Amino acid sequence: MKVKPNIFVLSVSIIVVLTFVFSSCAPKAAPVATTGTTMAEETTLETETTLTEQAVVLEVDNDGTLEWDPATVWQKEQFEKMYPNIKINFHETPYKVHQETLLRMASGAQEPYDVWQITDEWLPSVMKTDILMPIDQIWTEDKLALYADWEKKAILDKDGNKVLVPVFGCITVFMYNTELLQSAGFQEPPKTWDDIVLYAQKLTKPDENIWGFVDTEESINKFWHWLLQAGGKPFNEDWTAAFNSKAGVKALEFLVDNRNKYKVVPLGAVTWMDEDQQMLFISGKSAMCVTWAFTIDRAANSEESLVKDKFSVASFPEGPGKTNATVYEDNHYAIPKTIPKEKLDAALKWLDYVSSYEAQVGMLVHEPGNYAPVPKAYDEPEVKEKVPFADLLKVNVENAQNVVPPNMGEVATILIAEIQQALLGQKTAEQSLNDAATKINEVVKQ
Amino acid sequence: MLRKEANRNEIFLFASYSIANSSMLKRKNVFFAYVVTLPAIIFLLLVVGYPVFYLFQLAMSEARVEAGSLNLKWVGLENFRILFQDQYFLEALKHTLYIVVTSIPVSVILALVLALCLDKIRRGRGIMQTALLLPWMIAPALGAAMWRWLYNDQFGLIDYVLRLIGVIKQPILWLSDPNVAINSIVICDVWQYTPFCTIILFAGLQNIPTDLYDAAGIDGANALQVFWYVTLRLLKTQILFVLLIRTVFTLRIFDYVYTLTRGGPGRSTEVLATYLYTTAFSFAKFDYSATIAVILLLITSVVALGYVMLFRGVTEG
Amino acid sequence: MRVPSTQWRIKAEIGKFIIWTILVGYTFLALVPVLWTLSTSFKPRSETLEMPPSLIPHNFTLDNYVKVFQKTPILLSLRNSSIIVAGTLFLCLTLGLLAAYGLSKFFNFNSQKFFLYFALATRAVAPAALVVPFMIIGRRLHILDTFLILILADSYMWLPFLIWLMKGFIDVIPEELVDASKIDGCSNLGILRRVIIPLSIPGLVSVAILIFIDTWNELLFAMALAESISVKPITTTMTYFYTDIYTVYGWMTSAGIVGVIPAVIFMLFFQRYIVKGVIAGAVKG
Repeated sequence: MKVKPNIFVLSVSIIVVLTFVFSSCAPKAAPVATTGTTMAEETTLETETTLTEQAVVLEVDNDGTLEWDPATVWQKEQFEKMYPNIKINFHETPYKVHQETLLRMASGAQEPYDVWQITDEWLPSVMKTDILMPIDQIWTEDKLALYADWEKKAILDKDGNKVLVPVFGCITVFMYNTELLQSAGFQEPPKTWDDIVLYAQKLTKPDENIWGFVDTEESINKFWHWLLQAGGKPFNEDWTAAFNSKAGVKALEFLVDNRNKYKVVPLGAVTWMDEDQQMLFISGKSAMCVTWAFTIDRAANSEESLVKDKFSVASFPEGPGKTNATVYEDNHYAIPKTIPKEKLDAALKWLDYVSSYEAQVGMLVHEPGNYAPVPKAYDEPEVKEKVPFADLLKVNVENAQNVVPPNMGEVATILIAEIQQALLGQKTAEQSLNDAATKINEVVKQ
Repeated sequence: MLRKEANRNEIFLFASYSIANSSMLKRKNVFFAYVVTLPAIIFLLLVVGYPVFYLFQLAMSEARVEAGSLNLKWVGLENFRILFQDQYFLEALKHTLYIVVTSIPVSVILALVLALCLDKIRRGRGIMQTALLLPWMIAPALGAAMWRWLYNDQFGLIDYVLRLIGVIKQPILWLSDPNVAINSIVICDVWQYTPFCTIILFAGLQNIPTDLYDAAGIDGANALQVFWYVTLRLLKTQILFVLLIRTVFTLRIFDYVYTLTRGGPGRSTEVLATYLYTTAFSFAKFDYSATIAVILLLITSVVALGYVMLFRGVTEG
Repeated sequence: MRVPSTQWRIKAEIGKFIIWTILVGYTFLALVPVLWTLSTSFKPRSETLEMPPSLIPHNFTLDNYVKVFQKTPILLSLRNSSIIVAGTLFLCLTLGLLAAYGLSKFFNFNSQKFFLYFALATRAVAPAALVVPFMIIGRRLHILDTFLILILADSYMWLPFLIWLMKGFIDVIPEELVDASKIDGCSNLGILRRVIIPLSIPGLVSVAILIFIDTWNELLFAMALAESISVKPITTTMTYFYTDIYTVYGWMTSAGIVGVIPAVIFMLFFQRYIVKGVIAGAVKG
């Protein structure tokens, strides 16, 4: 078979032409409009917009695609109505590379956005870089009073400046499958940890892939939940480990026994992500679990859910600590110090708006999967109507703690590895917690 | 036309006459040779030179991120000293080597078998080729997501089918059993890259002139001898090439490990690339991460060098 | 060969049977993930988590594909990917073929070794380490978020191997052919055009396929260097639904299938150029 060289040359030239034609009309980074007239030298908040201002385009970071953030879109619409001169341009940063992006922006490798969205998981490493701008002027006394106590501490940096504004949060809830429980003869959800074990043993049917109680430890916040419920606490004031206390051992042993002794947890759940736990629940194969509250929305509304009206939420079954304490994982906006002067005012306005009572209520109403650290908001009639289990959530929010140790990435990696080894039976619960504590104590000193 | 060409040749000859004694060149067209070869080399140099230099610099510094920039302070080999005492690094190294040593022979032998089979069939070759290549056409990120779902012990297809046909009673914990997890990753790696090896070996097989086979046949050789002396001999370049590429790629395996196990039950599947990544972006230790990257670079270079020396031995023989 | 013809034919038949079994068997096993992806993309979302899992959808639907086209700029990203791949192919093949030709026919073995070592050394660097430098360079030269920087980033990855591989293919071309055309009065470029290229078509095409697929699936640089949707290649769109807090498998698999189709088409079209006998024909004829 002979291939004529001419065809080859011809096709190559066509490709060349196409390449150059299209490369030359590829857009460069969009030019940013700046205010020409007003230069906000001081960082006080302007409450009126002057007509002589030109449009400011605020580059705002958004975690994940806007597909899942109807509340954010709603907030943007409201905001742009309030301030017609400010346009918000969201950058949908994929969750899996978000921490990368933040660190690259902080180290100058990437063009920084004007407003960053930081979840607790990434907060310590970003805080370490000292790049967040203090925004105390937004946090008036009235606003501060709206928020739960732990949130007031969560927004501070190491010098005590307020640098963050909450966007939304994740809280844990206890969910159960009403159908499965009822068919096993249980009319009421379990009230204590012993009840959980009792119920779960009756409910587990491995041949049908049905499991009584499923827990995953992808995020150490889950373990903190059990620790707090057992009456322990994660860290001391100086961030040295306090989780290897008796309470911690009790909590871990509860999880280990559920897997190895009572066998009510699928064995593979050791390396499951939170997503897998949710998937098992919404496919109707998991009777009880403690999971992030946005699973409520997923179970009730998503098309994949097979348990749409077959589940409910209850208050946490009581553990040895006899407390309602739980964890809250926060998500904040912050402004980097590298923000261009002309955009600072707009950015402050956005942050001010997002942390206002109306915006937080609106967020709850428009995106029932999110939760706000504003206890009063759960009493609003609109919220009670739109958000399922609002009362329970309010209780959880009031009792939640926000656990963000320094060098959280390393801490989490070490602790999760040790917990996994305990679950697999390679070490006893006490041993693995002690090992973790030794290693972590070295890490938090850095 | 001929007159012009003759002139040009004369000029070349003249120009290269003075360098005619150069042992570098087989032909005396110095100018042409360099013009033709250098653009590629220069391109590579430009693209890779600065980043590598920066990487080394970072690896030998203490890096602090401060409000929009990265500040470096020279510390020499301090990071390396810490690295070699780091238990996690040594384990990651061990796991990486395990994956390399397991995955590569399997996929290369598999690819050889498949390429030979493909060579022998006439009809349906096109469809077969495309079907064989499909695993490689799936982007690793996506492939990893699907495999994670498949490997799941509760709603994954693999355990379901195995239990259905009665091979196993309890689901195999592909990703949660520390002994199995790393092999699951090897399976994924073989699955994804065997097609790539197959196509190179297959193309190599096409390059072997058919008269060689006829000649061997006339000389009375049987199939096995033909295979060993003719086919394998002429495929040596391609085989070494495939081995080299696979090793280089597999040494830095990341997507599958990170998506399937995140470093695995109790860190039993942590590899160099994932350790590098978590150090940089989870622990925010860019300097340490660069140190790991440099080690990875050195290992890869040494291995590549080894292969190229083998290559020289082979082609000169 | 003095073997009775029936015995030989039986052996041939058994041989053929074995060969086909191996091929089909392996292909089927290897295609399970692909089939699973395909099947999930045609299942309605309510069926995704149904247990026991089934390979054949109970209710075949195209809804996922419709949603993907509605929610993502997938056609645009297909165009972007095509441009990037075309540019990469052009750059790589041009530079690479020339370099391979030069190395193979003009340099002694020692110097070949030197250049190859160097080329391979560049490949020893993990792409992840180059992301940040590329970003910095892109910003300085103002070519960030354009096709050019993506083409450069994707080209660097394959160039060394391409040179090496092409050199291997060109090496096999007999010297007599080259000398013959020299006698006919061909210039070096002429040799390239008339002799080398036609004879290395199988090699060229296989390498082109490799580059195509690897560039088409390239995610790391795509995510880091491309921002606007008029530049983002298909890989970012494919993973659009996977990189969120939780995955809608129906949409993710549909986007993935749409992204794979062009690669399959390319492969189907070009694989018939990898045929035996091109050299044999030239030598004889």
